[in-house]
Amino acid sequence: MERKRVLHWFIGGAALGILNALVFTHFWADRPIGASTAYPYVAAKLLGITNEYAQKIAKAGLWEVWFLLGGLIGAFLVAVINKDFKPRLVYPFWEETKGGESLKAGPLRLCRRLSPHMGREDGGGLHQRAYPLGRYATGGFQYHLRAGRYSDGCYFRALVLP
Amino acid sequence: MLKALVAGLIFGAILQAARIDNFDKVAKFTALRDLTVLRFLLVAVGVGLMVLMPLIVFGFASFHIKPLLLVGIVVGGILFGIGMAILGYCPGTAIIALGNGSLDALIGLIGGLTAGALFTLAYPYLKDFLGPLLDKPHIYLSTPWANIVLALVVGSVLVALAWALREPRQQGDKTGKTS
Repeated sequence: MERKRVLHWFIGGAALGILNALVFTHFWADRPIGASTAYPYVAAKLLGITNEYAQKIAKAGLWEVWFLLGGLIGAFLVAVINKDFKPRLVYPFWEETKGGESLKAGPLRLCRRLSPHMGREDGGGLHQRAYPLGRYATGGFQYHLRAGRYSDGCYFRALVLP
Repeated sequence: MLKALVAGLIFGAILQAARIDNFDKVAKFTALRDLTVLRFLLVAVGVGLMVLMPLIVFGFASFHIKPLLLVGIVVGGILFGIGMAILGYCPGTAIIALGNGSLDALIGLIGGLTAGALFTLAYPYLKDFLGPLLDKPHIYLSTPWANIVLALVVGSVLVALAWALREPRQQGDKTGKTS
């Protein structure tokens, strides 16, 4: 569901146009707004690349890194103020056209499989031998952690015994 | 770099406030189902042109025309468009979108850094194929006031075009509903 826009596209576009023009002036940055050069600049810094291209983009890349950092902070502040901040991985249009469930469910399924499951171990729940990983006692209970390939896809089981 | 930071702060705030920095908006634009991004950009370019040209004419700003590397621009533009259509962000809005919690932009960030590294490493071998290097294209009249008038006319046309654009008729979605 699309939330109500706060800033009309015309106002936002005009504001962006004015901002770009002002950034162009000698008093501000004497260059246009940009972001793309930040990527090869950061990549070159991370990998220690110092060839001709890396030196060529050094000044512009540094400017754009700071610019994008400011953009990240500005967007975050407005999102928080508008109560629009929400961690998300899949947007409605992707779900509509591509189906997002597998994207969301994949990491969740993996976490579920890797996390220990508490409870009784059914005799028919194993495809392979379960290997004991350890035994812990706390609060009057004993936890027996075992690893195996279980029928429900889980890899770990923790038996809870009084 | 404080000036860059402040410029970015304002830039990010504008995009987030206008809700331009999310996947739905950009992807729907590339699918021609939502023209908000196009209208936003037309106004930005038009207003920017009308404000910038007088600043240049009166000496407060200068042109920064990029050289026209024909093959590089064509190939780069194609790759940029494909990437933007798939990811739903451009290099700038991807970072901005992280500010509102769009974790999918992180994937694009990783891809962008990877591509940036590969291009930087390959540049010495590629640079001869990015040309031909054509002269910096520009339309600049001999009379300063003529340039201001031209900018006002072109800028007004772009803004008017943004207003004139109509949202495309929505197709039925997979559930059969029409919006």
